[in-house]
Amino acid sequence: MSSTNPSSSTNVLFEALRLELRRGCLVVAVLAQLKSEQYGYTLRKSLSDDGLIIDESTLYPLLRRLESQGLLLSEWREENKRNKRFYRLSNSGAEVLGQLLDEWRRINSSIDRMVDPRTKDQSTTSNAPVSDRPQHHEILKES
Amino acid sequence: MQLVDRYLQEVKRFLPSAQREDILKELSANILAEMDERESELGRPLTEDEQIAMLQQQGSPLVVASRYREDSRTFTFGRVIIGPAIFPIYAKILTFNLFVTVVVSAIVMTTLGVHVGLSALLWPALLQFTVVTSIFAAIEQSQQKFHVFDRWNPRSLPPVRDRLKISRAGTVFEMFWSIVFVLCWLHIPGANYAVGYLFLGPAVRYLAPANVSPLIYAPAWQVFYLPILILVLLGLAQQGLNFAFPRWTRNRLIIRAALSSLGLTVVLLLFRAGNLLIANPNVPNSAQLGSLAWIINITVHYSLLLAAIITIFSIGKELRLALHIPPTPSPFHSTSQVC
Repeated sequence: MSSTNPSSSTNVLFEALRLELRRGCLVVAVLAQLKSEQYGYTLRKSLSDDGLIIDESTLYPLLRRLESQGLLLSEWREENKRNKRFYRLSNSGAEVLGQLLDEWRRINSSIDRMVDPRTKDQSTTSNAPVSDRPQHHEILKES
Repeated sequence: MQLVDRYLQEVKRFLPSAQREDILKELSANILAEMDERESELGRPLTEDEQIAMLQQQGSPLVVASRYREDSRTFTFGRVIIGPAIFPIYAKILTFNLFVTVVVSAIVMTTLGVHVGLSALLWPALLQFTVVTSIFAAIEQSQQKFHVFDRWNPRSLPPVRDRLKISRAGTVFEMFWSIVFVLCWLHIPGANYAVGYLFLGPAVRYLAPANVSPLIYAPAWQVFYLPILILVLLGLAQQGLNFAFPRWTRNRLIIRAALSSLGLTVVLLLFRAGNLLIANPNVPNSAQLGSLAWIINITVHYSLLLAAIITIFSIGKELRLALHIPPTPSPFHSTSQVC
């Protein structure tokens, strides 16, 4: 009699892969939300309102790391009689966000084509220049 | 607010010292903003249960602090044995234990006349490494299997420590020993007997009287007699002040650190003075007491070294605390502060 529960081990594996998948996406989401200035708690709320729930213990350290990498700028200011640290996207952060979003869209459309044959057919019959397509292979090779 | 302060105090323990205050300030601002918003939504202050639920959502202090650390080192042997959340604590405890093990082993070996070699020190160090690593590996395993760090209760957080409060019991303890020391140092009649009685009880009457004591102080002590007496009396004066007004002020901490520095100088000079006890030449067969004097001198020598290390740490602690207190206002502006 085996003590291993297959569905439980699948769940554990799924959870690990899900976290891996989310990790990079969270950076893009945080950078995207910080086009307008926010502080930690309101940012977490706005991400949550847009369907991306993120733990405080993940978000707050992430903000500090992105700031130390020069992608965000921060400033302490008083609001509602409390001092708060407001974050916003820096110029290099905006540039990196643009590049990350391009990458994100390319990965997304590649995966769409792989998992949905109809999208693939549309893609092959489309009039899009062929020179645009090899990028998908490059991405897959990298990942 | 008490619960939040207790939570932040616990997070602080595990944060990297360089960014500690900045991280705490920001974390505190975010938690308080969340509380404010929930209170305004509810139109009333949060109950203790609601505050607890909110803090549990933040995460256990150990895990929260570990996420702020850029140090993500682990102990890996094929798979992760000790993960990044507890690795810094493991590294700190292991380093401290290894240091103490090596120093104590070296002292014991020197005292017993055993050659202090690398191989002789390796076994106690290896044993220490195995024990500490096994304990932390077990903690890591229980975290991976049972998520023990997530099962924490904010109610069990330790109360907020007031770092400036001086324990009156501690002060009384310090004063008692300072007074005993001064009485013995001044050769007040009966003081030595009283101290002996404190440790040995009625058995003290069987000790040899001072004039036939087998060991006597070396001449080096004469140089330090007065400075030591003055330092202990100054310390006693400050202890009296601490008892009357049991709260540290910046000035008082600086004075204490200065007194400790002078004490450290005396300790280091005594350390360099060589043998501090010698066999009493007036006692018959005093030459045979040489080995006893040697053992006692070695013990005193290393005790002085230990005292110097402890004093350095205590000076550092006092100065660090003093830097966190704003300068005391001039007495012309306020009379509420003492010293």
